[in-house]
Amino acid sequence: MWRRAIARRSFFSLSAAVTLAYMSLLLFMPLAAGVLAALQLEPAEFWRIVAHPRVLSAYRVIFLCSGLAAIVNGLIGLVVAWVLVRYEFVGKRLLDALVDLPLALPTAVAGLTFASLYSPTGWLGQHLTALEPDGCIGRIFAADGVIGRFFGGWDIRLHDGALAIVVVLLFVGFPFVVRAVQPVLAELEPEQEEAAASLGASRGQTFRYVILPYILPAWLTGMALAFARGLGEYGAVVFVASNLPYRTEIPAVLVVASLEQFQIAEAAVVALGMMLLAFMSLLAIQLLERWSRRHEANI
Amino acid sequence: MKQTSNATSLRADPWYVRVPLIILAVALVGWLVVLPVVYVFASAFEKGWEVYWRTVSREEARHALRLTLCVAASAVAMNTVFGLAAAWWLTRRCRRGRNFWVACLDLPLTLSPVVAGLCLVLFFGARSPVGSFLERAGVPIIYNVGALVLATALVTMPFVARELMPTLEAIGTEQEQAARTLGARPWQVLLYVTLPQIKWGLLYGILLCSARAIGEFGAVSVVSGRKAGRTDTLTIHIEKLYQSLAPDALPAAFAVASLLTVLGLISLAAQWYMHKGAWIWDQREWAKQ
Amino acid sequence: MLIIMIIVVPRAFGLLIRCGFNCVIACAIAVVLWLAFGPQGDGDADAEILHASYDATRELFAEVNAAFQAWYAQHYGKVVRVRMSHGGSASQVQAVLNGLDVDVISVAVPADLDRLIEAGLVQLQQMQANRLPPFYDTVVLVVRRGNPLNIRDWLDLAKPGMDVVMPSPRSSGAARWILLAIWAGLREYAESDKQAILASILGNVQRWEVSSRTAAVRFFRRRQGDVIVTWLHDALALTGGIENDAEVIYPRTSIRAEPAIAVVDRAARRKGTLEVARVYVEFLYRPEAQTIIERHYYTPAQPGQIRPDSPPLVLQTVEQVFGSWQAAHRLLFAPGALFDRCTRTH
Repeated sequence: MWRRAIARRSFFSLSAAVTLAYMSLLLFMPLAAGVLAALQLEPAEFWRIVAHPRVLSAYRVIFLCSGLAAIVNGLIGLVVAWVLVRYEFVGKRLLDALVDLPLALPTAVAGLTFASLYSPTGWLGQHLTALEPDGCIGRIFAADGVIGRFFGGWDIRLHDGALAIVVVLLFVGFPFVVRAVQPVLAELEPEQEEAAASLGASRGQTFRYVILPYILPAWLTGMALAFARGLGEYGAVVFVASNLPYRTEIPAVLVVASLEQFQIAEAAVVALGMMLLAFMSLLAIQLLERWSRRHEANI
Repeated sequence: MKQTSNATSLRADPWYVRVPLIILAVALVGWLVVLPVVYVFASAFEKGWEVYWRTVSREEARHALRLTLCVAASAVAMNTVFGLAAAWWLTRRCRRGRNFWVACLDLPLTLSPVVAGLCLVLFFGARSPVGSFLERAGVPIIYNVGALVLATALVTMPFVARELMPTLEAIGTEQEQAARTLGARPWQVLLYVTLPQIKWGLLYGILLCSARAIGEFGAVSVVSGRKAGRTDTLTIHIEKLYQSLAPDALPAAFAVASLLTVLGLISLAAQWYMHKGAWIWDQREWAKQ
Repeated sequence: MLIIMIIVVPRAFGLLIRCGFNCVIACAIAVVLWLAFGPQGDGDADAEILHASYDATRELFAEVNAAFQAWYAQHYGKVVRVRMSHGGSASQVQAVLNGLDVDVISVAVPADLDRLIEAGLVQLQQMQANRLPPFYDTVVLVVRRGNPLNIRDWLDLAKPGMDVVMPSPRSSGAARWILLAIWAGLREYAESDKQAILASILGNVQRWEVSSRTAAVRFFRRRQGDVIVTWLHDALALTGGIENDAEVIYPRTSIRAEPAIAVVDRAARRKGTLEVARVYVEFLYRPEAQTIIERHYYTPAQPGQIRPDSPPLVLQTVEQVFGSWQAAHRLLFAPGALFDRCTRTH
């Protein structure tokens, strides 16, 4: 009897030991080394790096790009999820399978491909010359253009500029929204919509007041996942963006650039910021998921 | 289905909503997902089959492919063992701080791979105590294949465990407890009771993990010494080709990228088969009862 | 009949597609596995050495190594394989210090080797201190075809709004030669003017690239920037090849860049490849290698046959301009020196 108890206990503590040892060796201790490397700096030096305009602008760029990509992805993902759940058509299963492709395709390949696709000599880029700063649409958004003058000029090219980052992040984050919304949308009981319809609500009203509130937590979770993924993306962005400081440089590229110029302290400080971002987005996603679960339970 | 058929008219969208939405969805997926994949192959085969074959069968490309598969296999093997242990522990045993540990497990999902690579370099690099010890022991990790495996394993850490946890929760502990009261040893319970029930979740997790491992770039590029023919994985090889300014470098980069794309498509097809397999298996189990 | 057509044809078609799909997947797996684990073309080598070199020498050493392997097999009867690692010159040194086990290291700037000598990785007597490098190089300007901004000399790089592409002296050897060349080109100016001009040139650099090669990718492949400062051999090779919408501009004065190559004793000794590594370095001075070097637009150590006339610019050595390397380093690259002061970005 006691032998079995010991065996059982040792087996279970074996699983705990494996988990904790593996996580500390691979995750906690390296992360601690990274944090230590950043915190070893003197406070003044640390603050100089943190508050450096180049670092701040890198964070601003990735926040804006990833945020915009997440919002657009929210719309795209909603349409695709809706179509996949609600309609029957030829090739539906293929479409469903294709949604997962961005998860299976390496981001470096995506970056290489998007960089070439939208470059002025690429398949799409050669038809998009209107978006260049001297093209007919690009001129409107240029620094002295009709619209651009109010914003100090917008770079609306789909290569090299900030929009290139947004487009490639659309690709990277696209499956997250679809896969978050799809199951929830499929679980929505038809009775609720029918009840709304029989009470005289139009389709638009039904969508606005019945469907949207129901899928909202899942939808937001999907967008948050896409946003978080975009914040840390490196492989795709480094190929498509021109990586210019103050314009299209993102923190991940800044970390690599600092590392390659042996400014390890700088790299560690920027990386510390990215770690904090990762923690925070993780927290946000967990809260959203919890809300989402409670929400489903309530309805 | 039949019962709701007359009611679905209230749910069904009219054709002038349905058709444009379907077209929009297909166009969006076509633009975002299909076009890049088509473009990879079109660019790879730009100069014809022969040039393509010569490029991908070059020694560096083949070595990069072999290294990528080996590194991914090692990382996935590590993460499978870890994933089983972690999922078991978190769903069965962990009482205190479960949410905290789950959050830690998820951290690599939101952590930038570059930061992960940097932290590994700082921890295992030659100038850290651990790194200098390893170097003196004759097994330097950073800038060697070991670092590639570690970086890949770190970035893909959560996949298997995350797939297993809901499955383990869903099957409950009754059968395990029954087996245990019948005198089965813990490893027998694991092997004969638990594993058969979670095998689809496990396979699916392994699949997701390998897809991500094969395509890893950020973390790997930070920790690899970029030794041609030694620590060049496929993604690093692509970057190198992109940076080479020889006239045929770009088609060559796309040729190597097409290998990665093929691997991605294979994993997608495997997912497809697995869904079907799991579905048939479920049906059979259901029919048995 | 029609009903049969409608029912049977899609079924058959679906079956065909499904079978075809399975076959394609199976074939893809087979091909990938064969490529990865199939019989290898080149067989086992008796010895293998790793050569870490700066980025701009990729094409050169690819060809030199092939020649060396053939030559070694012919003279020693053994198969030897040379693997390359490329990166910025200082990055390579850093990687070696961090444990990259190279047998031979080529650096763009001899001063980089000092750090390896200090660390005891390279022995000074091994380097044969007063020995000349196997080839020389210099740095020049490359502009868009037709020279739309009329760039003639170093001074033009300081014009406001000029988008200058160049690597960072922190990681790249080429970049340090570039700064030295600018300094040499500004000889006739007063000290404070020189500093101001250099500061405005450095201010015109939008992004510090890691190596001359990533800078070249930005300028030639992505077509960004107005002017790139780069190695002469890269400039000639790239403007002569496919990227012929750019042209080389020779400034009046530039620097005579002397790369350095050395055997890294500690790693080579540990791996037992010291002898091969030494023979490899010797080989670079042999006529077989020198011809290849010249064909790749470097200036060979022995006067070459292909291009007997030197490029149309005055080349000065570091000693002529600064007196010594230490002086140049103190003036430009040391922590807190000119480069640090001019680039306020971290």
